[in-house]
Amino acid sequence: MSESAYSLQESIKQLPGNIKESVFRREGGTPEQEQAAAIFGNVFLHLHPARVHINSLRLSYTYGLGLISFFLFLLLTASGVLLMFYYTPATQLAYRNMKDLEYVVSFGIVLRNVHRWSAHAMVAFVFLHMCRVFYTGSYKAPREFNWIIGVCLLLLTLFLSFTGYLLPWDQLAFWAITVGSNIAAYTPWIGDSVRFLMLGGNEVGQMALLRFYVLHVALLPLVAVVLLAVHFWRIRKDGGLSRPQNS
Amino acid sequence: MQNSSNATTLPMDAADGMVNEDRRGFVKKLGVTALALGVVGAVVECGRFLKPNVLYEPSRVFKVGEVNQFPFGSRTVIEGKAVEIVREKDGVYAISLVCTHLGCLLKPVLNDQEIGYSCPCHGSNFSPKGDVLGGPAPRALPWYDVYMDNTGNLVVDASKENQKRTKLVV
Repeated sequence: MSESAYSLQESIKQLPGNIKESVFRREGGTPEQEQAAAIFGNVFLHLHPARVHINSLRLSYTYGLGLISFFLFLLLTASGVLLMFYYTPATQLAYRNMKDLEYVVSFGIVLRNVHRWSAHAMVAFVFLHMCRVFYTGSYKAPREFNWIIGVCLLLLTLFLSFTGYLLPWDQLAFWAITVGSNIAAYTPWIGDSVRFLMLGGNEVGQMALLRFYVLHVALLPLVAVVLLAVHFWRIRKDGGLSRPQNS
Repeated sequence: MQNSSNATTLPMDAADGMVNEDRRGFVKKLGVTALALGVVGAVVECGRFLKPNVLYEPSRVFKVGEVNQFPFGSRTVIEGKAVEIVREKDGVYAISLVCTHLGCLLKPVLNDQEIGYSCPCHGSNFSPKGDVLGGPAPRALPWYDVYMDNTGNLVVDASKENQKRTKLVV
């Protein structure tokens, strides 16, 4: 018959090309076009826009503190998901699971320490990022809204630290959350309700451990991801990173 | 509307010169009200859902042992209950070992005339009767109700504060 007829042989021959095209969404071009397209078409290289003002790229202006915070968040997500495979949020098991991660599971201690130190580092870098934004006046119009989003992200970082603190279920964890929840109880009028809802009871026990776990591994990270998306989106909508004037 | 000629008015207006805005406004209000009620209801439901109805916590009422286990002049910490039983010549009382500042477990101080309890967290000190001597603690340590049940055991009811600081005479 004619060339337009369906041919199984032809389809199989075209298959690798089709797959490649569907992933990279382009056909072959000149080497220069290929190189440019590789950059344009890659989401991971586009946390920054394709075109950035040269002053925004000066390392000494931002020190990349925001991006470092974001990559620490990614690192914490990756290591945290792996830790979840060996952790049970139950009072009888949590501490043993944590000790197993340290002494029994292959590379468990590495992952736990990566998670721990990244968490400390994230608090530090989010704080430093905030200082940079403050000292460069980048919170001023039209970026006020993004500053507020950033403050929410700082609070989320601290809440993530606080909720993660309970999970090893050792003495430090228990008393830290006892003290922390009692600080919350000093809130005027609603303090006792806040404490009760936070702990799911009157004392730091199984309900508190489960609540902190759910907040730590699901709710707070989800909210953080949404706010991060808004945060990054607003940078572009507000005219890119703030930068020194052309001199 | 800049054209004053009637020729350009919309057919809807041409019929009787009125669109029934009241009905539209009513439906809009109804919709907004329904939405608001739904949202408020969902928030209330979520809040109520998160407040547990049954607590699987240790009872606040617990036996501490027979009275002869507490000789005169003794101070006995009940492990895991954060309560100390004090037996004196004129009676027995139970005092809380939870710091009124931020809930840390107090350390009983023995052989000290003034200080009876000391907090390891932020350094609050209490007298042997539980009054605040120093540090950030805002309130005195509560005394709890103590009674003897029909088997001769002392029972502490930590859900009831002994406001008058009365001692159980046994």
